[in-house]
Amino acid sequence: MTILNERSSLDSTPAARASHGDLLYYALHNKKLLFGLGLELLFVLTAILGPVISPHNMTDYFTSNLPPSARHWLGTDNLGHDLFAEVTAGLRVSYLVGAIGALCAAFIGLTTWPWVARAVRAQTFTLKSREFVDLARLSGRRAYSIVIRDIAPNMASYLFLVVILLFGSSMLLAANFDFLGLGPTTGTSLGNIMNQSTLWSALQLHYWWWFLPPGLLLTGMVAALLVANVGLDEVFNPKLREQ
Amino acid sequence: MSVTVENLSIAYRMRSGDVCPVDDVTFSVADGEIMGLAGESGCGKSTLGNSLIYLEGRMRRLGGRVLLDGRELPIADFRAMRPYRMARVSPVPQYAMNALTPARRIGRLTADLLRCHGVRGKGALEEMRQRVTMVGLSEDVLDRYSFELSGGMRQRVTIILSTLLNPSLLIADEVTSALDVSTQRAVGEMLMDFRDRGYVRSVIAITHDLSILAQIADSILVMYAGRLAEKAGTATIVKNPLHPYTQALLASLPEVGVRHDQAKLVGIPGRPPSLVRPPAGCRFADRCPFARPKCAQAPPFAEVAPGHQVACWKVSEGWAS
Amino acid sequence: MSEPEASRNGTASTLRIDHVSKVFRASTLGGGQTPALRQVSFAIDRGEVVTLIGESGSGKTTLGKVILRLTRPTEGMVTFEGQDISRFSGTRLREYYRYVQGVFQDPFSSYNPIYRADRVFELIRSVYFAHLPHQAWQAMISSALQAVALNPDDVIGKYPHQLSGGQQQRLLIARALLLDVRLLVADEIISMLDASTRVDILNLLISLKRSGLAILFITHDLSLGNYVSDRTVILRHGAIVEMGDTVKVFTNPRHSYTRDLLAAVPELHKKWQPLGSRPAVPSGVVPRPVALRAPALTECEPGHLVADEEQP
Repeated sequence: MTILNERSSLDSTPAARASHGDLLYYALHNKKLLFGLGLELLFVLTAILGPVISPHNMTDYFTSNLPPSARHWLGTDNLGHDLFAEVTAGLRVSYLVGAIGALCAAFIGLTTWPWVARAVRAQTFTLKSREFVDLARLSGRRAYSIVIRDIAPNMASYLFLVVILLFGSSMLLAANFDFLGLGPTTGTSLGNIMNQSTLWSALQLHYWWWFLPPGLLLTGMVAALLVANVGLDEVFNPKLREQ
Repeated sequence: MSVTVENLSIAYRMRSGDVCPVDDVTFSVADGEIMGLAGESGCGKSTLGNSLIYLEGRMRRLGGRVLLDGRELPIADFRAMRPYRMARVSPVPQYAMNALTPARRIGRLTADLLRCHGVRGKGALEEMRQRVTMVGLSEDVLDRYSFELSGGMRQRVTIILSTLLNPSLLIADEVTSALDVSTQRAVGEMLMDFRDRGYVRSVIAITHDLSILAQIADSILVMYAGRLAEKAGTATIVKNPLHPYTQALLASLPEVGVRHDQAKLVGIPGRPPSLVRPPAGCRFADRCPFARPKCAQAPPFAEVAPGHQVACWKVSEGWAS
Repeated sequence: MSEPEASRNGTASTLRIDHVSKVFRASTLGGGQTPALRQVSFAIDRGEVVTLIGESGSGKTTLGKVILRLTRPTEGMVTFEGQDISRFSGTRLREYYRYVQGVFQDPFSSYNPIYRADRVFELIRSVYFAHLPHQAWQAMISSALQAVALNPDDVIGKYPHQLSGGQQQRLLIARALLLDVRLLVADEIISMLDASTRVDILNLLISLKRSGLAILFITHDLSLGNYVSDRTVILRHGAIVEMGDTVKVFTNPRHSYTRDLLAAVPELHKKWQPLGSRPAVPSGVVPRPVALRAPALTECEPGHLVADEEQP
């Protein structure tokens, strides 16, 4: 329907002339992208700085099963460990697992695993047959420049989504194993904490501060990335921006 | 069989507001008539044609009605239209040839489609086979997948599918557009042939290509920016167009045998108005060489000669050229 | 086998295509080789519009891509001002693109949707005009836009989806004009435009031709071909079936395929005439096997060549 080609409100924005300056401008002004990445950054900072800002160590013993208070920000578990310290340590582990898992999977996937490789290849071919690639060639652009400037940005949000899916699934997978008690017993992770809370009947005993924060964090970590990805889509697809 | 459209207005909801690609449209198609619905992109002809079959999510009827054989067609009611679709009113949508699923052979596809419309038994499939060979295609088309057929063949298969249940009205949207010239002719002749054989009673052929309509249509209805501009028999439109838009459109068509150094073609300056905030009066006024102050009032779509309707003050008031 | 047409004024033709063939490797369906082009030969001079007419599958787009160095021929040679273009690479290829450019059928597809439309100008600037001061560059853009009758305020700073098809197409022509283009390959550039816009683009091409541009106008629409071109080449299944002065080919078509095509063109004032015994419409399933050698061409009158009839 060509009646949809109406003028948009973009006509009035004083955006930068250079095209990559453009993308940056929209990236910095996209609410979803900022929210998602911001939240994720918050989690990452907590993971990194947690042990520094936490007044207690994970291995210190205090009174068991205390609800959140000024002294113990997330309360304590059945053994008297400070939950905030535990959770931030667990956050670190989960991120490590997620990142390493994603990298390995992406490497394996892009090199041998069918769905990822095929999907990326298919996207590249579709883009390659779009005439703007021909036009870039006819403008004397070199191959690597075309890949970086023309093909990759069109695939960017797609690639990012693939990475998110890998990241999220490896984290959740690890959490699941830990939750079932099949994970390593040394150290802790978010899944581990949730496992312990179930074993010690935290749900029945209403010790919500034990299982809720890890669960919410796990959900939040993956959800924040998904929201950021939607925002990224909007940055790269001008039509979606006119909402 | 007859189709009458009375004061039909269709609104389309967009981000920036509602547009009205079909604005107070009235016309009728007689039994056995192939009526061409002509206009450029964005004029509303596709919306008008499609509204007779299916009002998709963002479209809604603002007013007016459609009568099929004297009874009102419930176009605004999706479920009530089901018994009519394919059996009484059938579409060949734009790009239909790309809409055939590649996952099924044509024969299976046909059987599925028939089953959806409550037709069972081998009879209809046999009819399909017969019609396929009748139009000059090989019978084994039914055993092929859609991607094994050329564009022209897919288009013809789609038309056969749409007319399999012998509908009263066929709405063909740009069925010749993406085709080679020889296939265009084959498809055009096929439409006329099907009408002659009674596989379909009347056809509304939607296209921007007036030359194809000059070959296959009995009458032509020209649309501009959501409103009707002119309607008359094909010969009249081609030889004696009265609306300035029709005249300009015909003057911009290259003819075989005419070169640029013999007769220079002229385009129409400017662009059609935005349908989001259409002008109050005649919508062609800002591009019309004959516009006068009166054109700030919308001219009625009136009969100026038997079978010839025009919406233009210059014509109805007899201004000099 | 006939010789490629000698250039009119005796100097090297701007572009010469010499026995160019292109065979694609076996596809997933059907197997075997599909010759997209078979020993095609002709030449284009400055200030000349040559129309390449063919239906889908005729190889016309492939020939355009061969000329634009977007794909390599399996056989044959393309020379530009006497030089073999297959030897060009790197700097020499970029030089070539200064003089030879293309505009394609789907204007929207030629734009990368995530960038603004005028990025197509920027692409050129960084390669060809990197050291040009900003003012001079702006002046160049201004005059190119003027040449294609585009108002800068209407198109500069806009995204491709905010422009109409006609504006997109004109912008692409303006881009070609920024360079020192001597040959323009226009592949079906009109077909996706409205009737009222088409004519303006056609008239623009004609005025460019008058100022010396050579144009290869690729189309399936015979009436358009007749309107704009000086010479016509008719292609079927990758081989030339007829070619020569446009007036001669259209008024005195010798090959049955040309006649069938002309008979199928819908005209405003004349109904389709009954066809001969053999219709030109394919009724079998694609792909159809085709001989690898093209039929021979003979001159039936000065400036008019016809191929021998080929059995399907």
